[in-house]
Order: sequence, then C-alpha cells, then structure tokens
Amino acid sequence: MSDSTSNSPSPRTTDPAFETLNELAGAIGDGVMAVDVLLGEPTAVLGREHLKTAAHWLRDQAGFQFLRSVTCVDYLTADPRFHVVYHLASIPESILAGDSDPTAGTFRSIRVKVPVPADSPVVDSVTDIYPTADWHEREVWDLFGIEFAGHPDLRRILLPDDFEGHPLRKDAPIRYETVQFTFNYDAIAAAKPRARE
Amino acid sequence: MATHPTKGPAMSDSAQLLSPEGILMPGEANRRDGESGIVTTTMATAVNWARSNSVWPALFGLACCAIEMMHSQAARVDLSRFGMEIMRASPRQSDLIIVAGRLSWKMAPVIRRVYDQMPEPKWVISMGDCASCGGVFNNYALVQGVDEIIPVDVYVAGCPPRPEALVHGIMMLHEQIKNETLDGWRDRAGGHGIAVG
Amino acid sequence: MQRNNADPSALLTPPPPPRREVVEARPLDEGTIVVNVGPHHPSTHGVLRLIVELDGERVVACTPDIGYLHTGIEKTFEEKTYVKGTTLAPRMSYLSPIHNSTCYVLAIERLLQVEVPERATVTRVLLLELDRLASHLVFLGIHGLDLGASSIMLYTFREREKILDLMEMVAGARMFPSYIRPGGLAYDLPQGFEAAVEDILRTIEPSIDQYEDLLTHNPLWKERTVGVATISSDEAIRLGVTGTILRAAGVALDLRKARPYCGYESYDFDVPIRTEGDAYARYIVRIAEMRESVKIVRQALDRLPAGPYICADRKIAPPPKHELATSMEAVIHHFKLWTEGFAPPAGEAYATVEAPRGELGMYVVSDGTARPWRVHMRSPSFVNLQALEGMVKGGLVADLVTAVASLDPVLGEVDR
Repeated sequence: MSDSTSNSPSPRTTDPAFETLNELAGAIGDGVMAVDVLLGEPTAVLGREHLKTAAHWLRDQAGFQFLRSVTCVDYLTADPRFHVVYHLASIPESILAGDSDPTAGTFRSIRVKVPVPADSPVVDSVTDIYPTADWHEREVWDLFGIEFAGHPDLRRILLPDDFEGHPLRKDAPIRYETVQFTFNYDAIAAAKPRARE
Repeated sequence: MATHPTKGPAMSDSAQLLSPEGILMPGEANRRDGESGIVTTTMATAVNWARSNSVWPALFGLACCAIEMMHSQAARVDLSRFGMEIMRASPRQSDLIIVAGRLSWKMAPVIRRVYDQMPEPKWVISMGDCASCGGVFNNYALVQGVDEIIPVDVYVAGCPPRPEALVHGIMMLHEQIKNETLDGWRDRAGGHGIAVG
Repeated sequence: MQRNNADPSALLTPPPPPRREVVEARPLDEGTIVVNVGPHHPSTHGVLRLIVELDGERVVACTPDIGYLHTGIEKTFEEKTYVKGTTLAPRMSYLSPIHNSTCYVLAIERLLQVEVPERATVTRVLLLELDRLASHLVFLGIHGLDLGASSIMLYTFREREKILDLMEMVAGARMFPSYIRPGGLAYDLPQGFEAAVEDILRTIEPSIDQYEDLLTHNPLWKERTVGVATISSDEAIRLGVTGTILRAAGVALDLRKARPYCGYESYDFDVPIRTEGDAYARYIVRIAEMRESVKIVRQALDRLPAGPYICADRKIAPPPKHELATSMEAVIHHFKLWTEGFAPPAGEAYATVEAPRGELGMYVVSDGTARPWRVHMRSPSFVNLQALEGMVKGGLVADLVTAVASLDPVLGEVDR
C-alpha cells in the first residue's frame, strides 16, 4: 500500500492533469518519485524536501491555485510510515470569470503525496503558498502528530489542549467502552461514573 | 389541579344560604366546587403544578438532535402548547437543559458550567442516543453518556429522536415534577441543599 | 477560587481568606477588550467559540476555536465495515445527510469499479436536490432568527417538515435515512413516492416566493446584510472557500458542472452567481439555488426509470428477499455480506460532491480488507470557517452574527 504502483493503472494518456505532473517531474527532477493515475486521480509522490518547490511551481506555472484538502494516512508498518496527501485543483479562467459552462474550460485536479518517516515526522508548511492549508495542517498535526515546519501557529485545533497523543495514528487506541446490555447491565452500571448535583 | 376539594352533597339552588346583601355565605351547605373560590391542597402539589407548566429550557443545542429540537419548536409540533416556548439563551434564566446531541470531552467542562449556572430547581433531559450512551460513536472523543457529567432526569432515545419523542420526554418530565416532594429535586441528584420548611 | 491543598495542618488552622487580586480596570477608550463568544451562544450555530477582540464596537481580531463537537468519526470509520459506514457518514454533517452518504458511496464505488443502475442514479439526484432544499431552508430560517426576523423560521420549517416526511416515507428515518448504499439504494422507492414529490414541488415554489416577499426587498434585512462580511473572489480561492460563498463572490465553481457525478451533466440547470461577495449576495444565491434544485427535482422525477435499484453483483448488493427462501447461495451471500462485508481492492479514491455548503470530499483508502484503512472528509464548513476572520475584521460586532450565519457552518462538519 505504501507504494502507489500497487494500484492498477488506469488509462493515463488523456488526462491533461497527468501531463502537468509529467512536466513537474521534468521541472524538479528526481524529486518526483512516482507518477500515476490512481482511479481517475493523477497522483505524484514527492520527496518532502521538494514539496515547497513543487507547490510554487504548481501554483504559479501550472495554474493549480486551489488547495482542496490536506490530510495524512498512517500506513503503520510501511517505511516511510506516513503519507501526507494534498489534493489540488485548477479552476479554469472561464469559471473564474463566472461562466459555469464545462465546455469553456477544464477543471483539473491532482493529488500529491509526500512520504514522511516515523522517526522525524516533519514536512514543510505550505501556508505561505496556500493560506487555506493553515487549519488543514493544524488538524493533521493534532490528529497525526506530523509537524509542519514554518507553520505560523501550529497547535491543537480539534482536541482539547491537554489531550495526550495523536488519536488517528494506527497505534493509538480508539478507547472503546464496553456496551451495556441486559446481561452485563449491573456490572457496568456499578462502574460507570455518575455526576452528582 | 390534581387535588380537588371534597365535594359537597348535591343540593338545589334554593338551599343556598345568602347574606342580606346577597353574598354567598360560607358553610356546609355552600361547599360546592369552585363556588367559594377556595381549594385545599398541599404546598408541594401547588408548587409543582406551577413549576411543571412553566419550564423554561435553555437554548442549548449541540448537534443533530438540536435540529429536531428546533422542529419541535416550529409550526407542526409547537412546544408552546405545553408552556415551553420560551427558550432562554442564558442559563441563568432557565430551569431545564436539553442536552441535544453528542458531547465531546472538550465540551464537557462547558456543559457542566452551564448546568452549574442554572438556578435551582433544575432538570436535565438527555436527548438522543449520543447524549444518553454515546450512540454509534464509541471512541476517544466522546463522553459515553452525559450522565457522567450532569445528573439526568429523562433519557429520550432515537438518533435523532423525532420531535414527538422529545415532546413525550418533556411530558414525562412534567409528570415527574408533579410527583416530586417540595424539595425533591435535591434528593433526585443526591444533593445537599438546605432543606426548606 | 482558592484551590484546596492537601496540607493537613491547613485543615486545623484554616488559612486567612485569600486577598482578592485587584485587576486594574481599563477605560474603554484606551486599548481593546477581549470578548469570548460561545461555545454556548445562540448565534454560533452550535458550539463554535469565537475569541473576539473589540475596540469599542469594532472587531479588531476574531479567532475561531473549534473542536467542541469533535466526534472522532474518522477513527470510528476505520472500525466499521464499508456498509456500516453508510450509517456514520450522514451524521457528520447533519443538515445534508444525503450528500454525505452519496459522497462516501461514490468513493467506495470508485474503489469497487461498480456500475450503478439508472434508477438508483436518478433517485440519488432527486434526493440530493431535496436535501439541498432542506438544508437551505434551515439556513434561511436560522439566518432570519439571528438577524431578528423570527417569523421566517416558522415558514421554512413548515416546508422542511414535508421534505423530512418524504425521507421518512422513503427510508423510515427523518434526518438520517442511510438510504444510499454502495451499488445503489438500500431498497426500492415506496408506492406513492411520485405523488409525494409532486406535492412538495407544488408547494415549494410559492413558499420560496413567500420567503422572498418577507426578506428580499425588506429594508431592515438589506440594512443588516448588504455590504456586510464581504470576501473577494481571489481571497476566497486563496482560503479554499467553496460553495455558495465562492459563487456569491463571482466564481462559478459548481462541482455538479465542473466535475459531474450521478449524471448531473444531463440535467438542465443554471449556476446562479453574484459578484458582490457579501451576506446579501449569499442569501440571493441560495434562494436562486433552491429554485434550480426544484428544476432538477422535476426533471429527475420525469425521467425516473423502472428497473433495478441496486447493482446485480451479489458480492456487494444483498440478494432480494424472495431469493432467501429458495436459494442456498443467496443465504450464504446475505450472511457473508452482513457479517464480513465486502472487500474492495487496495487503492485510494477521492470523491467529491457539491454539498449545500461547498465541496464535500471523501478520501477513502482501502487496504484490500473489509474495513477502510482511512477515511478523510474534506468538509466545506471547516474550510469556509477560515474565511470568517477576514470577513469580520474592521466591522461592527453586530455584523459578526451576520457573518457567521451567512457562512452557514454546520459544526458537526467542522469538527467531525
């Protein structure tokens, strides 16, 4: 799973966004580790030291001005363990000008994955290139413990400040509590904390 | 009113005792329902009757159930039929809190504070499965039942409960209030308030 | 409050009462004051907390603090099979449950590479647009309540009750039908469905006219919304804002047109836009969108074909009830499906729908087992809420309420 090539390749010749990724590979060289179309979504795997260069190139040269989401996947046993996943889109001029007709311009979207090792979970922040990444990156830090170097305000966003750990990591427990049924009603009722006045 | 004065014996109009000014005189022969304008009852019944018919809920919605709570306020179900239309935005002005929705650990201190700010006597309805027992979300983020944080009087099941179910829960609460002793709301939560009278 | 320390000698000889710390009060005309709005506040649409810095009545800074409704839903997804996930997905954003279900199911269907029958697709479109109507009706009612136009809520909830009745008729539940399933629908549409939709269509358009009578040219309404909480199109794109807020700023990005799903490309509808980018423009866009939704519902109802409601693949879709009595194979499929579930091939899919609040995306990673390895939800409210600070900075504190209401956040979706 950690290797993107394990997905069955789809027809990749026609997607204009796929061409962009090939150009990206030409622009920043061996920083692009793999390029493929995964279930209709052109995907590039980037070395993390090239992330900011690639983001600048994608926004300024290729027109991917819109960052849709930033998230992370914890593959636990794979090396590198984490993938930070960016979904980007390019909004065509016609839509920007207020014309929703899909034939006037093509809405393109790509995915960029950045593998991050478990022993140093640090990625460069892209908040200065895409301001929307601010909360996304705080969320990823909160839930996965990935640090974003250069983020202006990296602190917990969803969980309380005194929460310990990063719950969406695969080795974090879900903290499941036994459900109360008829047969174990008394045992759980006795142990359950009850609020007082 | 639950308690009625003892009914007097049936008598014809000619048997009434009138004063020279034509005023109905007190006496055995005039003890008919309402004619003397006096009812006898216990203090608890009278107070609880008043309390149960003017419960002011706090305007406190958490999640999905709050939408159904709004529906129960809206045109079709119309909670104001039961003296419940005044949702107070301030906990200082309300005596019922309807915990409508899932309660996260981050929110738990807040809801406890809101509860503590409400003047006594006060009641709690736990609306929906999440508030009652955690519902489908049995994980690190949610309190598995709001009764761990504040004492609950009525649990309303459903995900979310229909507005009619909430109204039923409120009717149950009205019944409970009517059957309480004068300071029974203290016993209910194991409270240690000062005994009155 | 003084903290009770555990020193036993303190119990014998109680310490003197603590001296009150005197905080020097600053006059209001010097410097700013910090006001905490929420998380329990009637106009924050749930449990949003805003830390607002005020200079007199002007907002200097506004920092949203979210997470008070964090449900851990993404973690719970990893514990459940794919079909059980269809119960969780609608509970994420509780004003647009059909959109959540559909988006989640579209991602799974992309992983499975399965064909969905025409009847299911058209039904999805029909329910999606009714869902959008129901969501915008809540927006309108609550926006009105927040700005003091209390009566509109009673009217919009009257229409919403009808849509919820239809959902109940279709799936047995008012708010969370869990009706959209991988491969199609949970079961076929009930008898009398067409008539019920016709009934809604008959009443909804005069009702929208009624709302517009109440608000659109109402001077008080315009006073509170025109020119308030503005955002430019450039700023909106930089902040990742989507949906009606982006369209009210002049960008015609609608994923139903730009990246069609469920066959939206074959429906005839417009994407209403405004260029002002203020709260009034958002209101106008949403009203216009409701009318477009009515158009789409009407087209979907006209073309609703007969036929199967779920795909024929027995590994994904449960066998029909009548087969269970006669076919051993059907019993085995049924048993396997509801105990183990199905296992899509390893891969990852990002499906998007145009939810009432903007681009809703579900990123589902499969590791080839019956439970998803990772489900991430790109929820529109979460991203849109980032634009709040820029909208209210420099404005009046009373306009903060307008800004939050016109962003129309669903806190369940913000915090997930």
